[in-house]
Amino acid sequence: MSYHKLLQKQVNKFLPTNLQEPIEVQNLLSAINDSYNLFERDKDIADRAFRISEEEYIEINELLKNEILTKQQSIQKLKEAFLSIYGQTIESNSDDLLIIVQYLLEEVNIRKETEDKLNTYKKFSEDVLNNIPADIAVFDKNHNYIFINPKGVANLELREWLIGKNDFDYCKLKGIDDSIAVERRKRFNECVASKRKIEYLDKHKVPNSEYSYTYILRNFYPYFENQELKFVIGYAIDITEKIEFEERLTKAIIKTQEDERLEIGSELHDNVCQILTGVSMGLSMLKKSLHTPNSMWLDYCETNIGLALKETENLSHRLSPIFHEDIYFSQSIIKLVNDFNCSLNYKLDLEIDHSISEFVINLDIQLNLFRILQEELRNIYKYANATIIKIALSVVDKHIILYTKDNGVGFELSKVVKGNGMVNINRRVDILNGALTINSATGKGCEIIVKIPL
Amino acid sequence: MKTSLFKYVNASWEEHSFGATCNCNIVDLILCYGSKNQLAASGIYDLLRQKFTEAEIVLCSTAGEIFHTTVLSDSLTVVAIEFKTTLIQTSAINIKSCINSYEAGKRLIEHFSKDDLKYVLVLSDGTLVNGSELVKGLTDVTSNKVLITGGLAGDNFDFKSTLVGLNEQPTAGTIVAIGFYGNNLIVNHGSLGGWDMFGPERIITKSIDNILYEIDNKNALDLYKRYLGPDVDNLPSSALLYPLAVMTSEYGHPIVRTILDINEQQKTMTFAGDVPQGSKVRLMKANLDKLTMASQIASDFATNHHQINPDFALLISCVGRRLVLGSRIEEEVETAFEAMGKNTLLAGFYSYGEISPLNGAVKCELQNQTMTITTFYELP
Repeated sequence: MSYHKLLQKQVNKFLPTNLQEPIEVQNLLSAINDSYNLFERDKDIADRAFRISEEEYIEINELLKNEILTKQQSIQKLKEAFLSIYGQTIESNSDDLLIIVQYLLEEVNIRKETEDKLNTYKKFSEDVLNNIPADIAVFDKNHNYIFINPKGVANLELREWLIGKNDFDYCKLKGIDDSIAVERRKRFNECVASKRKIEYLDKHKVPNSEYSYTYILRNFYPYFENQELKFVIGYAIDITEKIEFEERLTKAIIKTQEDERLEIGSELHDNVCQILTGVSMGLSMLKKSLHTPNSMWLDYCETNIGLALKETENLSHRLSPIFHEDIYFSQSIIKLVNDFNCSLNYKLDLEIDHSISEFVINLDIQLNLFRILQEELRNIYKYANATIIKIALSVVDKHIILYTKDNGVGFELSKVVKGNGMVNINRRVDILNGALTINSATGKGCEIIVKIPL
Repeated sequence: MKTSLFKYVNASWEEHSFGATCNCNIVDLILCYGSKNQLAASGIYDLLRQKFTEAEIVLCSTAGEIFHTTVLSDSLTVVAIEFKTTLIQTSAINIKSCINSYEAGKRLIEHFSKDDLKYVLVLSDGTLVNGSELVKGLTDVTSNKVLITGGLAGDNFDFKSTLVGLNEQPTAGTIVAIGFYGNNLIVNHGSLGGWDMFGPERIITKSIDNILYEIDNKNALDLYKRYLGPDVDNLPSSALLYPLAVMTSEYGHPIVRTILDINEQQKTMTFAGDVPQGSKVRLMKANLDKLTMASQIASDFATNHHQINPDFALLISCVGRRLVLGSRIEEEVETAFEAMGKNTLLAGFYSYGEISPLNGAVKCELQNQTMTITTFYELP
């Protein structure tokens, strides 16, 4: 039997061969051998366990070293961040990550407070901009949108889409004519060039309505900083209500004027003319009773009273042209034109559509058209230096159309100073929801078309 | 109380001279410990019943039998206990008829009368039953108010299957409980491992119940193989050299877990008790002297520090200790005998898991790698 190496050496050295023979000695040696082997195995296991766990500790140590390095690098980065935030280096003994974090946390809190304040202010500004009853848009110097408020464009998606784009893009998107964009670009350029606020009125037909309009007062306001254009604020206010109120007011004023004219006209016709007729009759009777051959003064008086009577009748008719209910609208027009050309200064052509008598034309329209023609003839007389005048009155497609054309000196539409005459024509056309077209140029005469819905 | 110790050799019963001679016809309880080989022999129950006509007979396979101060292999030993006044009640269940080990534990003893119940001894199958769950089931019934000790049956160093039986031929999957009743019976316990923790603390990153997959996100079996070195050829038994100390908030102190089996395909390790995911763990290694010392300390606790001179001490020690201590295995038994005053008859077995509270604790747990001693003393 072979024993553990060490035990074998010891047996060889200390136990003579003859003493190894007895069975008791062999059993003892066997038990000692078991213990040697057991200790050997226990030692092996312990050695191996400690060797491997030492290797593991070394690995862990490496990991920890790396972690420390990463931590130091993180601290360095945090310090740099601190420097960029505070503009100063962090205190010398503050390698402690917690202190740095504390600092940064304070900074975050301050920023958060500031952000809260900014948000509150931002909300206030947005609330104002979003609820102000005006369309507000801000443009860059190239007329591209940089801001639009919800009143301007209600749809959020569209509003966001428009940022960085312009009205031409918008027209393209909607597939509509870009005349509005052209008009606005013109005004914008005007504003930028003049460096001043530009204001203009936009008039649009209300969709699905023939005679209603909306009136938008538009403004471009340029904002400069150090002589350089920063942006242009556009704002628009719906003044339809105001305009409608003014129209109602104008109607009332015109009606009052007409009422007054009518009253004066009828006063002249019913009263003054009757008195004058009475006086004329009295004079005639006086003439017969006198038997004086020289009645020159009587004849003079008779003639002048006759003139006064005629003038008064004319004046009365001008003031209340349709006063006589027995006269049709067309007849009063014919009379007006004939009276105007009584001295036959003009080659005048008046054309009245016969079918006009088939329509019931309300007195308001009749009176205003009469006044418009009156005003036009006065203008021709005063300014046109014309020789030929064409006047036509017709009904086309439920509209009554008054057409006048002369061969006078004409005028440039953009240069004409609108005197009372043109303003009055405009006002009357407006209150009747009509349309006014003026075609004229220097040396080319003038053509005016008034179109009033029936 | 009288306790006799028998060994079946050459077709006859040899009685140990240290025990008191019982009347075989009136003994109350027979605890038969033997190798699986011995217990699997047909007629083994009949052999016992023939000799002990009236007793409750419990059979349990082992990884070594403690026959007083001797440790035997592949033997058949019998402890015969005759009580003066103490009464016992027994119960058996098979894990195959239960949903899980927890339910088995509950069902096993829930019908036990609670009045005067002094102590419960549990002997369970050691490979099919999850010991931790079994103990939870048992302690849920007793609310930790009754002492429970016992062990999981063994299969030498083979870890294949174990046998347990009550009043019949033993079978795999069986769990047996014996309830002890009476005010005259004094039962004490002591349980200690004596293993040293070493190496870095690690974390269980993947596990399900008692199956361990990963430690520190690395395969657990690979870690073990690294430590086993040349002993890797003797897996799974060689894994007993390095039990795992599991630290969880649930236990409050490190619990030792030993390996029952490995699965090379799935690279998993099956432990004798739960190894909860998230637990901190450290490897453990034996120190032969400390292992033996643990036996002495467990004896001190089991004799209430020498205030009691027990009639009988049941020693349930772990198979891992047997592997490590090798030819010095009897030292831990002899140490216990000496520590208890050399007057107490010892018997027991090497198990796949010990059921007991740790020293000083009340809550019963599944232990591994411990020497667990339960002492019995019946007042005259």
